[in-house]
Amino acid sequence: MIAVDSLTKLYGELTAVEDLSFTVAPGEVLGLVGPNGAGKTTTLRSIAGIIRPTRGTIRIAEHDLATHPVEAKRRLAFIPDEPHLFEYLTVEEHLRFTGRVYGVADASARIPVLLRELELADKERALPTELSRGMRQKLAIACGLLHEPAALVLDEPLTGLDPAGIRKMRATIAARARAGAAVILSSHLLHLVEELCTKLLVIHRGRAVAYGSIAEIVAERPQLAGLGLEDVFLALTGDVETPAT
Amino acid sequence: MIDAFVYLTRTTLRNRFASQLRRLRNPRYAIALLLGVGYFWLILLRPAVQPGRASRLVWANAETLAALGILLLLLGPWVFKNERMALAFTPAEVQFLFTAPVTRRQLILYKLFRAQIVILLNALIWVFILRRSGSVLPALLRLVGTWMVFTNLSLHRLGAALVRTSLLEHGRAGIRRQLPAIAIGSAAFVAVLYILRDAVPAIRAAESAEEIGRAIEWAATTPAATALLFIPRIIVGPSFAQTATEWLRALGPALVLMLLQGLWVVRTDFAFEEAAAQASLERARRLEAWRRRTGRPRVRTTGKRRTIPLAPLGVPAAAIVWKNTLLMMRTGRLGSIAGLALMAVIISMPAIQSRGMDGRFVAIAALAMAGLLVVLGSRVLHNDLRQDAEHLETLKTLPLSGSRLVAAEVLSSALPIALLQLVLVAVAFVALLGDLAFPLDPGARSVVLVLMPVLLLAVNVTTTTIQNGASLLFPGWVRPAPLAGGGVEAMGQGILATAMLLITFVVALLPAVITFSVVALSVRGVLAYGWAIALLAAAGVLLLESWLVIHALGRRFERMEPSERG
Repeated sequence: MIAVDSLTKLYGELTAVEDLSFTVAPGEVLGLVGPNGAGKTTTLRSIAGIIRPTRGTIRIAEHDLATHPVEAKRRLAFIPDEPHLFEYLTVEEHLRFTGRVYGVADASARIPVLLRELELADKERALPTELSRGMRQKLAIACGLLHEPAALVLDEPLTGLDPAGIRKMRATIAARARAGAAVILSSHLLHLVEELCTKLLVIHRGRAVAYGSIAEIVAERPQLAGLGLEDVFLALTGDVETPAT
Repeated sequence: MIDAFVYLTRTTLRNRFASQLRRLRNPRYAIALLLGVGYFWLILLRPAVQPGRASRLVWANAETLAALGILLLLLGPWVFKNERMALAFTPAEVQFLFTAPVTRRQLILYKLFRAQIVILLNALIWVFILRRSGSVLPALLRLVGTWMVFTNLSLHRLGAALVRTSLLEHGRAGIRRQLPAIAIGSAAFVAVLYILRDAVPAIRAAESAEEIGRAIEWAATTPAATALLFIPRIIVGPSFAQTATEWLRALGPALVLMLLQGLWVVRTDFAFEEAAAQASLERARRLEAWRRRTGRPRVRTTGKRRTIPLAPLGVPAAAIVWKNTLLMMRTGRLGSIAGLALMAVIISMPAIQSRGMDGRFVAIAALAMAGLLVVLGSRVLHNDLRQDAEHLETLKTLPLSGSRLVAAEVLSSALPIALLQLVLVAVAFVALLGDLAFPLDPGARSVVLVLMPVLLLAVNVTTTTIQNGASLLFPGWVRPAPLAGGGVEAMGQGILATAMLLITFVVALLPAVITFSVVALSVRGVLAYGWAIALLAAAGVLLLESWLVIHALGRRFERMEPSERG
């Protein structure tokens, strides 16, 4: 479970995120969408513990991120859009490092399985500089999945992946949700969001403009009935006028 | 194109200065700046001391010593593979300039132009640092002299880097083209070995500073040395002139050398471009090679990749030490440290066997090096948060408390430094085994050796904590890698940073010194080696202080935001 309550983040005079509240239950996939600069990455980085909220609380699997950060982070995996890897650790060593930090007792057994699943088995001794952009992204994903997190936060996870990788990643996200993980997925690929997400949170200028399943969002706004997700998104974020139906 | 480079440099400097000014709104930065300015103000206000006998003696030999130093710095780029730093471009420069319709020569001119900012700043710092060195020359003339020394060195390093790159990329053709430079470099290197062969016995036989000075001067007058030091003496000439006339006379040759080196750098590039068989393909390949040259230590991608086992369960923070040790292995730093330790042992072997005065010489040298590492170890080895600064976001997502993470990072640097010092102390101990006349009796030496692991760990944890503290408290000031070039011309800032480290270290030592004094006085006459208990207590105080600071730094790490690094 991921529970965010009244999340607010200020950078000096600038309000990046304001009074954002939502929950993601185990098995749910929340799609976080919004135009550039809406506050998506700030929200995700706050949940991952990279930045501290100015106000509000974040709970990961019942652990308050502010008061019990270690317990909360142990149950969380954050996969950023740009993989940040240690250039001096091999693929396998990244996983061993992650296993030790997260206390994964059976890491040795899980690592080969993950490497095969993400098609990195023949690259286990390679350094990140010897990997393509897509492979580095896969390695970041593998590190995120190793400790079987209860909460999975993904920021544009498909960036750099080839079509086969995208298909596999979609299946992986769905499988993790089915296994009981609470997933937040931020992406500009609205067809992916539509396919995978059970709920949608649309934010604009740091504030939530819509929250719920697509059906619920449309039901609350009759003028959006019959529109595709892309048109719904554009209408909600006010970038274009709602097309006539 | 020059206009664009000037614009880029001017706006970069202006914006950087503005952002530093904005940073001063933060009380932490403002207080630190006030303290720093206050410290230098006090030094400046202190009445100037007339150079004494020792100072005059140093000055008399300084020109020769400086020329010798310059010679080594000129040879360095040919012997050590450091062209990476000389050709380092920032990622933004790579993205905008390498893809722009800019020739390689223009890029090199831009590089020279940017290097001047660092050179000028450091020339100012050096003139300030050496203001009481005994020179009677006006500060402005000394500034110009220092600027010429650094510019000459910078040009030489860049030229050597280009030659080496050319050699790497063009194989035999490159060797033929660069034959004169290679021949001069090799001959100089051999000549240095000859000079050392003559000078070292004389220096070792010297019994006073005057005799050491005379031995150096004598070695410098041999024909090989005179020829070798010809260029270095030209470079340092203006800096060591005693009158304005002497300065003016020395300026001409130094200026000509600077222009010749500038021409060499540009010509090297010209030859490089001209020789490319498939210009466009070759250029893309070369640009890619340039792209890889960043300011950080390069991870070896070739050769057998050895690893260290890591159990999946155990103290999670140990994984941080594990990964940092792998970094040291793969950047060759661990090898360098082990090499230094091995060298210390090998050099000391003959002395250990003879057990005479040579033994004492080795012991003092080993102890001096161990002492020097107390200050310089943590300045040179960045195997901690300073190195990990670029991975701040990843580190912050790990399920580790800030204090444990900072402690693991600190230990990653402190442990290898302490280990190297321990080897040096052990070498000194063995070298002194037969020397009963040494001030410390053999029993006391054994006690010190037993205590050393704890003492060295405490001292190095303290210095490394200070360094990591600076990078956490002032992320906008402490940068993980130099902005440009490096080399002696960028050493001025390093000296100031080392001075600040020393001052903080002395402050941190005070409680430990007080503890030592109190405990030593309490047990004096009661226990045979009471001072050993006092030393342990002092080490304990240092470790306690460090732990308290690490705890505070851990909280700071948890609150720190990646945007603060600026």
